[in-house]
Amino acid sequence: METLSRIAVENKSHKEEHLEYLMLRFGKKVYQLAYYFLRDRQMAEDIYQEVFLRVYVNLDKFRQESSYYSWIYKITVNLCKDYLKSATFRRIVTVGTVKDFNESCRESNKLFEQVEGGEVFSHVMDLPEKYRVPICLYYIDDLPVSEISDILKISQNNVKIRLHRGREKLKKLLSGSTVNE
Amino acid sequence: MNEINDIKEKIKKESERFFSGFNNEKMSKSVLSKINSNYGEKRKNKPSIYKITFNSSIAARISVILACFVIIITSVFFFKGKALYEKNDMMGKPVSQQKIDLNDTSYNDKWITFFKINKPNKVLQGNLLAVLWETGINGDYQMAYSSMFENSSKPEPVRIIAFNNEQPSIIIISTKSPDKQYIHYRVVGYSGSRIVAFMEQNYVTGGEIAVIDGAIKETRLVPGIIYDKKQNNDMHEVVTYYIPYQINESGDIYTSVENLKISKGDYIAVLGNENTPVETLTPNLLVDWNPGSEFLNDNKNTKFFRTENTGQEEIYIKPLYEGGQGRKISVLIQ
Repeated sequence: METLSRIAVENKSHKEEHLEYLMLRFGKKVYQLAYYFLRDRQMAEDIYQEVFLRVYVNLDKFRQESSYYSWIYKITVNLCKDYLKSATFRRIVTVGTVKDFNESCRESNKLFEQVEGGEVFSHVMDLPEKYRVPICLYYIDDLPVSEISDILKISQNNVKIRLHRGREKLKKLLSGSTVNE
Repeated sequence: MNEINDIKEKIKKESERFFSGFNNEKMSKSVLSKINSNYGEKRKNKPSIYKITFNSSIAARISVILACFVIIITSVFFFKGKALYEKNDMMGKPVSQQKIDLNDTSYNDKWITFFKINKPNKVLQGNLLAVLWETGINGDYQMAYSSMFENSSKPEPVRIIAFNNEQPSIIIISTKSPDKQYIHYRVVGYSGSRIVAFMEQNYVTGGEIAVIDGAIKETRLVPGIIYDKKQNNDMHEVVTYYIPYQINESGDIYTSVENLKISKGDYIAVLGNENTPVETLTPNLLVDWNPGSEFLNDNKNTKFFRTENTGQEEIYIKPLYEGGQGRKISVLIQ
């Protein structure tokens, strides 16, 4: 019994070490990806925690059919999508609809994005979510179209279309303001 | 496209600046802290993300979808005329099966199968349906006889009573309800070319069936005995010996019993596939008896006697037609 307990503890510590390593390697990327979806730091931190808790729970079941990176990113995308669809997320809005929420959110987040990031970054974040995420993954994270397609579970053709439309919209946004160097 | 590529470096630099405030070490420590408090393994406290994701709105939608599905299925059954309560696993589910040999001239296979069955009144009773199968001309099994045994849970092995000649055997199909302490049974044999029940008995309280010297010995409990003029509420054990007989095409009588030993107080009944006169040679030992309906159970081809005294008696089953051969049964009353 004592041996079994000791083995269980040792296994647990191995698992935690493993998780620590994964968080060190992919933690920031997970946070960024969550932010691309939600444009909220607190929510992105919640997603970060939930992603790695899931990773910890399912670490033994992970059969290495894909890379850790791909697996973790997919968990992140799924959680973000669920969060966006949730009614509670919509109820955070104190004024009417999700559009209104996005409007008020944009105003406050925009300030942070402009001050802490920059004007261009802020405009990128102003894009609609379905264009914003592929644009960020492509231009900020340097991911190829094939990987973006795999993570977002959309076709490569669809990724290219969204990138193209995202670029067009970004051009309009950028042309509508003065970019400070 | 070139414009975007031109500012690509700017986008990257600004995003790095924006996300530089993220403290990965702090975040990872908070995750490990939750795991060490058994969060990751037991998931006692679901994070807010789960409360957000799995909420009453989604549950309500799922409930509506399920309700629609149930309504659709119900409608399908309604318009097809099927009762909703019918469960395929209760209709026709075999409980036991036994191969039998009736020693008849057909040389076809015969089986008795017991099925669980419910009446179409939406009440679960736990009835049993006994089916006697025989192979037909084309080799397929067909139903030769069937009978339902109400509120019975336990089929008993089929008892076979053989006749010492070319006559087919008679069988006893019975079920028992151990908790309710009664039996149902059917005495089944050939009448002409058809398989029929010579006798049906239901709800025989405290019932037991045995085959003794070719006779069917039935034991049951009855409240009081009218014969003894003891009208009381005590249950008395009554033993009845049923002597089966068959009449062939020539009018000859055949029986499975030649000699029978019984006790004073027991009853004798002569049971056949046709109604034929039955006489006794010694009037003071066995007396004609007309039992109540619970004994008769609409069995018309049965003649009852009660034992009056001890001694040796003979029962003579007379043929219906001239030229037919009768049969005598010796009965020793002890």
